[in-house]
Amino acid sequence: MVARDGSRIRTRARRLVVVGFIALQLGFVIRAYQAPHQEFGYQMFPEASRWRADIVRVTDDGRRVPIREPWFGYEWSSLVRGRGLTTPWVEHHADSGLDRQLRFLVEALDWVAANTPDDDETRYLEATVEASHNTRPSVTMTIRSRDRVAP
Amino acid sequence: MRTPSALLHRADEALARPVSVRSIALVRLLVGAVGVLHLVPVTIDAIRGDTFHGRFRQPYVSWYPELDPTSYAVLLVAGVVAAAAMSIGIATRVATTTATAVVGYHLFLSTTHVHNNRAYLFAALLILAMSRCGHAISIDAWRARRAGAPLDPDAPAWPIWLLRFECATVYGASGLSKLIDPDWFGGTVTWARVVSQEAMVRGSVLPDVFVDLLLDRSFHTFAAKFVVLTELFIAGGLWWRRTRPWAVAAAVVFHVMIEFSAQVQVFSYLGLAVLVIWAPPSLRTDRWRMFHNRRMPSAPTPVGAPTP
Repeated sequence: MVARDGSRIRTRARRLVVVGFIALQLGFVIRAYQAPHQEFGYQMFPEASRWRADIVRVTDDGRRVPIREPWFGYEWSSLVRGRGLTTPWVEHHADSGLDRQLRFLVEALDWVAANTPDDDETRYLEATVEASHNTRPSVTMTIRSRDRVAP
Repeated sequence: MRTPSALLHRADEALARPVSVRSIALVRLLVGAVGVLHLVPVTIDAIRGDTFHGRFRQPYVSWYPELDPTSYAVLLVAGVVAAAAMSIGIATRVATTTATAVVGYHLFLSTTHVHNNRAYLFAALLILAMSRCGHAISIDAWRARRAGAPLDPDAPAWPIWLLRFECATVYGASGLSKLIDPDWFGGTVTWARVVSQEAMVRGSVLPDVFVDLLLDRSFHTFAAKFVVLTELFIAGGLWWRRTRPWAVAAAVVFHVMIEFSAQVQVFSYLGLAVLVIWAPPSLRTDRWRMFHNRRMPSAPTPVGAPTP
């Protein structure tokens, strides 16, 4: 007797749910070693890496204006909250790992570039990132947003 | 030698076997409370107008529905009410499903919302929503009993097995990722984390001798291995009767230490809550042998039927 309350369909549905759930969860665990955001991968406290970034707006006439200053009514710290991105110019622990942190930074630059319509002078945003992976010597890299559409 | 069909039959039997719902009901009570803890700060922010609107976010899919600020706040309030109702067991199935949906909606709104503790909470809620966790330790069960139509105190065991799997996976995945990372297993990560917070550690109530030990690089060569092997021991030890009490005890100490040493949102509370699923389903046992059950007790097993 397979189940007191079980019809054949119910038994197969139960198998499907259980096997599907387990397969999906194990798939997420494996995927997390490559995926940018490691959903359901449960890789906790992965690194002791640290990072900071100086972000500027590069204008059409070539000026480089730090985003710590409000522009056209926008403030970086209001537009970008959480995940260590609110004050990127302050050194932070990359609590989900450096790769994931930089991925968030790239996405944030693109989002701000695309969602500040009153700004009619910025061509793109650029971040100069200093990052140290687990106490290794700091490296500097430059990350750019997508070019903004000309107003 | 067991044939594949015999193994499948055994698995089907284990998943379908009626067992008491008391342990999963207690998990429901606790996880519902954790759901409230998780949703309340987000809801307060939303009521104050501090929502995801006009802020950086990264949706998983472009067609994901984004509610307006008022509807979003109302949804979160509904989530809090549902999680509370789920915890005390009022309209439990509807409440659990609603709490799961709201936690899931918030989680998948943006990649920036995804944290391990929230993912674990969603997974636990999803399993509870599929179970009959309202049939015990609930207002629903109490009212049904008073009305002379008590709810069935037994239900198929598969949600318990799924929740146990998810619980063990959290520790296993975390431990494995650290085991294969030389920086972690070698102690660099834990040492660097402590050193980066040296001022805070020195300002704590810890004795100087202990602080000096924590800041000593060579100490972490051993401490990190201990942490990694503890996580892996919890993940594996939960599955065996003899090691289960030790694995549960290690997990409790592990969560308490994490809660005092790191900001992990609701992870510690959730981790402790879900550990209850390793108790015998009936919860009726010698309290000193709470997690020491030989096998999942069930309704009377037919003579000759296989047991897990």
